[in-house]
Amino acid sequence: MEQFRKKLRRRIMLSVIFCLSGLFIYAALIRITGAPEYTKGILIGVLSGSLTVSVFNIFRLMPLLQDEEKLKKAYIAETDERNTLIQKESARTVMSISIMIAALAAIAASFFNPVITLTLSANIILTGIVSIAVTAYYNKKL
Amino acid sequence: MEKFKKIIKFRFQLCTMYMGSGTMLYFLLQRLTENVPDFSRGMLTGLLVGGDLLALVYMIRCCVLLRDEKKLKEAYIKSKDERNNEISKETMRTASVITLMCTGLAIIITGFFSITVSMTLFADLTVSTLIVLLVNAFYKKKM
Repeated sequence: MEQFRKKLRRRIMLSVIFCLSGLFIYAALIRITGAPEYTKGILIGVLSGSLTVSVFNIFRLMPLLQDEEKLKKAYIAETDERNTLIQKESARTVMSISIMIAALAAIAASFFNPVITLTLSANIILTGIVSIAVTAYYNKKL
Repeated sequence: MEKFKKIIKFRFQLCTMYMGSGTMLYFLLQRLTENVPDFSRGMLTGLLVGGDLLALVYMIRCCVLLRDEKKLKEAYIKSKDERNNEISKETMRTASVITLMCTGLAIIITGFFSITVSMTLFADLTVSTLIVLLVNAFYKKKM
């Protein structure tokens, strides 16, 4: 349980660091790159989204450290085997469905715009490479 | 073991069906879509050849397994091996997180160069996230 408490503290610290550094990186990127309006929009969207998630995370985790009972519940939820199993099973299915949809979309897009097809193909190839690399890692580790 | 043999036979049939229908669909698309750019035609041909080759290799593998009892047993043990299953599950979980993060980063980076690429990746990320939510909800009900 002490280890879980440490883990939560580390998560809160990371969220705080992320909030502060995110703002700094955003300002730096806008100043240095002179990005187009669209990119500025994306950056502000990503920044505000991530900041909201981080702040939400901080407010969710703080009470857990002060209330022993809530901490226990969170610990059980986190180490629950059913939840872990659901996550693992769903990740496998999600991967297959995503790749199939992206492949179909790449074929359909090839009739209209080659850039979209190439982007989706690159995405599928990246997914394949990541899967191979991670499999090799787990084959060694497990 | 008999059940596993049936599964292999079914996979063999699926591959045959895939090869047959894929080739038919290819010729149908070639005929129906006359004003299609060469790039699309090339891509369709590439997909057909790639898909057919993969199916052929798998069919040969299935044939070998169905004829050799010892190899079938080995394949059965391998498919039931808990370590392999665990590796596969763990891999997919980590790989999907890494892919989502890379796509997110790519959206930002490509935003500086091409709006089309950035928007495509954004659509891809959105669809992937929706699939994650739907599949999670499904497994929560099922398990």
